[in-house]
Amino acid sequence: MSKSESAGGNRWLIGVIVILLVALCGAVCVGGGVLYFLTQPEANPFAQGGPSTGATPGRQAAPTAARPPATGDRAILRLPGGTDPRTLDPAQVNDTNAGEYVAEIFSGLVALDKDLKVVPDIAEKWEVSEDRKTYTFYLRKEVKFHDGRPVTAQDFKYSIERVANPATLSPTAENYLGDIVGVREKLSRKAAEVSGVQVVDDYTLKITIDAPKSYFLAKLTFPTAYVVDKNNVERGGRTWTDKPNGTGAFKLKEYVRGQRIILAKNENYYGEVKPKLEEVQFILSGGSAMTMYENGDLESVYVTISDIERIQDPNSPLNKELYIGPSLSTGFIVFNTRKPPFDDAKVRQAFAYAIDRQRVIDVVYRKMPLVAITILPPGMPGYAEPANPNPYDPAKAKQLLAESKYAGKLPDITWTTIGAGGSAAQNVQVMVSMLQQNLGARISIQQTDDASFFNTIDDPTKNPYQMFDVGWAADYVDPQNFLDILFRSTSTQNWASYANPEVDKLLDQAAVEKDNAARFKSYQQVEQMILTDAPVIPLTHSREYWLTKPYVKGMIYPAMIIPRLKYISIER
Amino acid sequence: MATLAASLPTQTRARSPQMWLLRRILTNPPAALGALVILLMLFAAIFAPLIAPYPYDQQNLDYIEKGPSAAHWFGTDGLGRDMFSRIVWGARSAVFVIVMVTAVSLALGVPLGAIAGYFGGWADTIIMRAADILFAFPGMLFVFFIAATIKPGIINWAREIGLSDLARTGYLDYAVVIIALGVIGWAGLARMIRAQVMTIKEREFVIGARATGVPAWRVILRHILPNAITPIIVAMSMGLGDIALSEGYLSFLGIGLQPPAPSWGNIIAENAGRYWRRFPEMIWLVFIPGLVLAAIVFAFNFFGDGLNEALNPEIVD
Repeated sequence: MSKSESAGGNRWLIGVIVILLVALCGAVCVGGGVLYFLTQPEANPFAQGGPSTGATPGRQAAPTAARPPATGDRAILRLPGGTDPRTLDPAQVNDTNAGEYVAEIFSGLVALDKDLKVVPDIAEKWEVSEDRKTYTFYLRKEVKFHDGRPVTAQDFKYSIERVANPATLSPTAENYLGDIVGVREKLSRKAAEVSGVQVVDDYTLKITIDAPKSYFLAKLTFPTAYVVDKNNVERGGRTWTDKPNGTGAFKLKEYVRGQRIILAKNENYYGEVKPKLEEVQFILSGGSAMTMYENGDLESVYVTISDIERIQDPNSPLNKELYIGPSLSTGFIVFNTRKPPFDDAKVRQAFAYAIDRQRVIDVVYRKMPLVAITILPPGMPGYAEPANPNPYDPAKAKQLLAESKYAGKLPDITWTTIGAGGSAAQNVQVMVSMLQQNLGARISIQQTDDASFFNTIDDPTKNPYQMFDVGWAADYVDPQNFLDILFRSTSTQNWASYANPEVDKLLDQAAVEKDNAARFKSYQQVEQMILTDAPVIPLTHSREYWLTKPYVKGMIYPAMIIPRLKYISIER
Repeated sequence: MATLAASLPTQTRARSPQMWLLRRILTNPPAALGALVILLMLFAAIFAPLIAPYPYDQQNLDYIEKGPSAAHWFGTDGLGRDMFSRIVWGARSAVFVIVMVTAVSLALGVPLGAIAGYFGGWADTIIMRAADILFAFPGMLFVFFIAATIKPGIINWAREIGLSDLARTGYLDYAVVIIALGVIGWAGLARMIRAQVMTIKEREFVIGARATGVPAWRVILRHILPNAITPIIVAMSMGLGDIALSEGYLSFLGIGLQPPAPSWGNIIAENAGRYWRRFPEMIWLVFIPGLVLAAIVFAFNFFGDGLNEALNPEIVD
């Protein structure tokens, strides 16, 4: 017995020590270990062309092993790559992650320059007909695919036909090329060929669109309209993008899934701005991106909310390497206007007045994004400074709710959000608490994974969510990209199922208005009407937070995906 | 006094087996400590609304990320919520899951294990192969799979039959966690029961019972299970900590309880996700729930150990 007691005593002591040790590990490992899954990098919080959660406060870093190789004296730029791109096929790109690579490897008739202006690319010039419906593009003669084959008008014809072929299953065909006469017909199998695209000669291409739409050229800057090599696509089969034969300033040199994507300089690039970097390595794995940057394993890195306060400290050496810039995006709270109680505009307006947006940005987002009052982000043509920088008015909110048909009998509400374990839902929790305090609304939070979330909201007519939060990033620099695509009653991305015939009519008029000033004015009018009806509450305009090593010159952080690597050089 | 002292040895001998067991556990320091922690958790779970000084979801955005103080023993989190109150309420979800999972695995594991062990043959083959399949799966992965495939179905079904209010509250999510953990839990239990039943059914008293024509179910219930139960109790009490930990994992990954309802897992998730880069700043936000969860796991293990020693005195030497 005494033997057992002494053994027990020892174990007791050991037990206490182990408890303390394990609590330390427990916290860090339960946290740290499983965090590995959780922090699948939100390297691109706003998907391009498709929605993504605007609610993710900041970005998180990708984990894993292997240090990237040292670069020595070679002009090699190493960037955090996030997750594997979903595709490298221009016809399939609808998110910024894939777009970043595709924009470097491929190119199209026109492109966006550093200032996000539409400029000639493979087309050196173009003419627009009197009725503004026919575009004649004159192609540069020296443009070659990476394998040396010259690019001709037939290649563009082939590329557009391919995108419009329903078998290609391009998610963006209708949105980006649907204005071209015949594309919709071919997509719905009513025509075998796109009649609006004609090859005049090897270097002249004529494109006809269905109405004089001022934003048409802007749409052609999106990857959907890029030129691809017929031989490459047809001989390569389903895996042709493993060896993409593009026309861009960089070629794909190596792609090891989950590890790295290496782009190499295209020596024969036709553009005026020649690429200067020998190689660009996107690291798809490897610890925290911030740690890698601080260890000198990356030349540039995005800043997450966990690091922002440390870096914004003026005494931090990293502070001098910090860049803060706009990104053309808006995060929204969306109400499903088909579902009670949000079928009553007064309830939606009440909710909009009951949320102190500035407070949410200050506390949860640590002021990283700008507070959004308008739908259009700053920097977008047509953006109008809001009259009231923070329309938070609990008294007015209460009054609006009392006037609604749900006065005193507001049903229980579920707010669906992307996230796991509460880490992503802090912003939602704060707003839920504000709504409860100011309106007595009982709102429960339902977290879900992003795949099922987007599948659900992509079909607004069947979407069962009552309210949710989601972001939208510009695909091209035109207010049409926000107001028409998100709020036209018939749009497939009309998340709120918002239907206002007056808005639709104004959108139609704005689409064909020739004078830009007048056009932007109509869009402002549309925006005001939408904000009054409040099918959505704008919440955030994201900003880009990047650190870059001082020896990297010409680094740009555009507010949208553009071919940008050719501007960058390394000067040690 | 003297008479009382003199009478003590007799009293000790006269104690019931339960009291004797209790004494054996309480005189074993690790087990006693384990029991104390478990009791504390039960107490916190039952009386959470009375113990917690603040509502678990009451935010104070003017008082965020403050360290421990007299007003907030465990400090406040990123939304200014009192961490002590959240951890006390978290005990409730842990206890709820422990009780429910144990009930589900007992309900599945005991009958299945007993049938397999007693009858043998094809019943044994089918049940034990099913258990092998569950074992072959990495447990958490299996729980994820169940939660990902069954959960939306259950919630839709609840909506269709008019339980949309229930579907909205998040309790159904919880039910899924419980079912998933229970479905994993029964396999180990069934194996143990089966092994016990197979040994005991060859003992003379069982053979005797069968020889006198006692029906099989009665033999199992009255003669075999009561004698098979001791190692099961020990194993289960050790496993309870793992269940609490699993609940932590699941909530951490967003499959369990939905915020703002507190569980230790989602408290860790919420804070680890946000503050791990700033370590050791805000350390209490992750350290304290981690400590609590670890303490519970150890408490159950120590308690189980003590129980084992008490019930099987021969292993002490």
